[in-house]
Amino acid sequence: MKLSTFRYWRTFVPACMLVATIFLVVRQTYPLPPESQLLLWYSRLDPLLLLSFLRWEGQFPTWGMLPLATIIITVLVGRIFCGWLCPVGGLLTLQHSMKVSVQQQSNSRNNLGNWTKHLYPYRYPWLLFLLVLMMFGSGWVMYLSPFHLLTEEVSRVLQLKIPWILLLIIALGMMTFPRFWCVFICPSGLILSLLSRLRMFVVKAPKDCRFCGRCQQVCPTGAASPKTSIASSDCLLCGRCSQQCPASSVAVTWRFQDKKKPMGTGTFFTRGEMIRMGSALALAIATLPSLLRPAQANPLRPPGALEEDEFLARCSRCGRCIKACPSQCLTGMPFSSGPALFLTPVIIPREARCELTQDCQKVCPTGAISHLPIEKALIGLATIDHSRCIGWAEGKLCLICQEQCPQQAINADSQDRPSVITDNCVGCGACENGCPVEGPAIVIQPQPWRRRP
Amino acid sequence: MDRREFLKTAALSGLSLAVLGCTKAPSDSSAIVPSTTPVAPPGAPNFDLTVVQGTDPEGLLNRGFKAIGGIDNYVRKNATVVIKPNFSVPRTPEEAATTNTAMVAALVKMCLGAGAKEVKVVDQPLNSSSPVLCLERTGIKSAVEAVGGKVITYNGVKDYFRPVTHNGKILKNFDFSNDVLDADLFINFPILKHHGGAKLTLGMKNLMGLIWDRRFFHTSDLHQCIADLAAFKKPHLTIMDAIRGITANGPTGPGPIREYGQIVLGTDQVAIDAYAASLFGMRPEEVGYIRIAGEMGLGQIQWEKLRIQKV
Repeated sequence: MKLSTFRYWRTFVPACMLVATIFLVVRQTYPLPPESQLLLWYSRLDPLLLLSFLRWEGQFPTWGMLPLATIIITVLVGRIFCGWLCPVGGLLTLQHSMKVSVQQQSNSRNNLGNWTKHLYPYRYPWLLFLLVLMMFGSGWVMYLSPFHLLTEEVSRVLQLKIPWILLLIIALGMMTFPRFWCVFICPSGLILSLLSRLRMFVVKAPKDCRFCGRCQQVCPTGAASPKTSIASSDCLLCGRCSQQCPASSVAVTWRFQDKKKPMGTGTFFTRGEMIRMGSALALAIATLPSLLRPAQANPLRPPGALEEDEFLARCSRCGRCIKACPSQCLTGMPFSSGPALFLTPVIIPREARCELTQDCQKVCPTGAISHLPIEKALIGLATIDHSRCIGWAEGKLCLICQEQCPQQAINADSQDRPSVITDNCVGCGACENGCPVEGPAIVIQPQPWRRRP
Repeated sequence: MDRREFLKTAALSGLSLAVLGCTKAPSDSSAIVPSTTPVAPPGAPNFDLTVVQGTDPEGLLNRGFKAIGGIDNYVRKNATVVIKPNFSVPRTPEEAATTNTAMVAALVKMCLGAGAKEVKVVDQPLNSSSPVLCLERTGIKSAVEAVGGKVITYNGVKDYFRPVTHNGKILKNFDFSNDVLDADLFINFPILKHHGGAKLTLGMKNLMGLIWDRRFFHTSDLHQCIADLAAFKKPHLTIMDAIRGITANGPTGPGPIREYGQIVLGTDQVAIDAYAASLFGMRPEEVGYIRIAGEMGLGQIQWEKLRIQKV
């Protein structure tokens, strides 16, 4: 099959994926439109998400066929997902095309990027590092995968903040070669690259190859090389090489026609590799504590959130819950709260109350916010400070807490003094939000299990 | 005492009460907006309130306005009309914790049909951070906009208010709705329902949505403040939605619903509240702000003295 057929499609399709993703992120807003669920399903193509579910739920999720499809197609033909379906890939494809059209030449490799060849041996140690962090409870690893990262960064732009990570990805692409992020950083990409080594069909140089090196110049990942006739495992099947080839053209062929195995990057089990892997492991163990729950930290999480340790392990910091929250009671925790908690959703009742619409549960891609009926959810429990409540201390008819409470969890006695009916209280924070006492007299106290038995 | 004599005394006592009320309001009041008692338009029969029985929202309003002299007597050509329903909690119309959405839309349509230039439907929902939920669940936004009205929620936007002064017992300086202050016609459109703190929420309580700092009411004296506010800006017309309403778990609900099957119209908001309280099964004096409003002479609260027209 000739790849040059995809001349226009190879930019158009990924660009569409990017635009669609941005559109879907924008639509993650109250009231949730039906198409907002598409983002959830789209995100499930990511094999890293499957890994996270297998690790934390110990069972194959119902939607498991989707990441499995990605894995199967990768084992068949390589990183087609990265080349054609990934939205961050779409962004980088656009960047590549723009760069080409501006420079009027199709050289994707920047001389500045030559140093990147020294990075290849560190790819899989880096993946090991990330996977160890993920398996032992840091949700940050998932953040690096495209769907989560892009959602968070697009929401950031919508809030008129600077999307630092996206800028970094683009800058790295400009300085080195377009898909630097996909080849060296993205954990999903690295997993697919690893799987891609097994692929059945490969992109192969023609028999009459003249070793002109044009394929290498235009390849966005550095997979094509005149030195080897078969593209490396980073091949995205974009077909740029095919278009540039002056010979009878590059094509996808059955791998086993040729006894040579596809070019991998580095082999396992050499001494150097073992040392790098060992160092990665050590580094992961050293880094882990700073990414785990700080002692005593138990912020008010969205209704349905898992117990804090598992919440931090599964939350990808994608910010969809924050985006979809109708009352904007969810905000990303500030950088000052430490690397483990940074960007995770928190409720500050004094700012806004949770409206219990459960939209956060509907948009959460990782299961960190589980689908839990409101009567089972327990964000926290309201407690009244009798010494400061004006109903108790001053005998006033206030009862704003009762007026605001959507769960009938505040009981007023014959003297109009409020008390909390803990069986009804969900901890939505309506009372704390409405309390007229400065430094509210009714406060939501976090509960360790965040759910009722 | 025969009927004629009774009516005479009733009218006389009503008149004297009204006069008394007028003399009580000092003329040197520094209020920016004088708290004038709206005069019933000519042609309107002289009743404290009009009760219209039925359940069809549009029909109820039509019959009601016919009984009080026609909507043209209230809505002048090119007038700006402000309607204050109660959509302060995120409940669906079926849950009967907000003013009947279909009826609000019907009223907007009638006002525009009578030549109003603009009809604004305003409230300040209780859940201050997400009024959008109230608009969504009550369906009020789509219903009102479909007939050409405008829906405004005041939450968190101080520009909707301006400072006013009032010679209330407690309420002196506060921020009040610009829309209402500038309106040619102000219609209060409450629902009769249970309220945990104030026992009942009715017409006067509904006016609390028009002020910026509601916490002050709770931290000082809720009932006195409500009565003070009722004296500050009296609605030109009050329409009580008593088709159905929750009888417990108010104001937020959901709660048990009782069908009253009627609406109440009138210019005496205190009389309407007193009547509605009786409908709910309470004596008007049991509700603090109604009792205080009666003591302040803001309107008729004695059930026996109410002149009720039934349609």
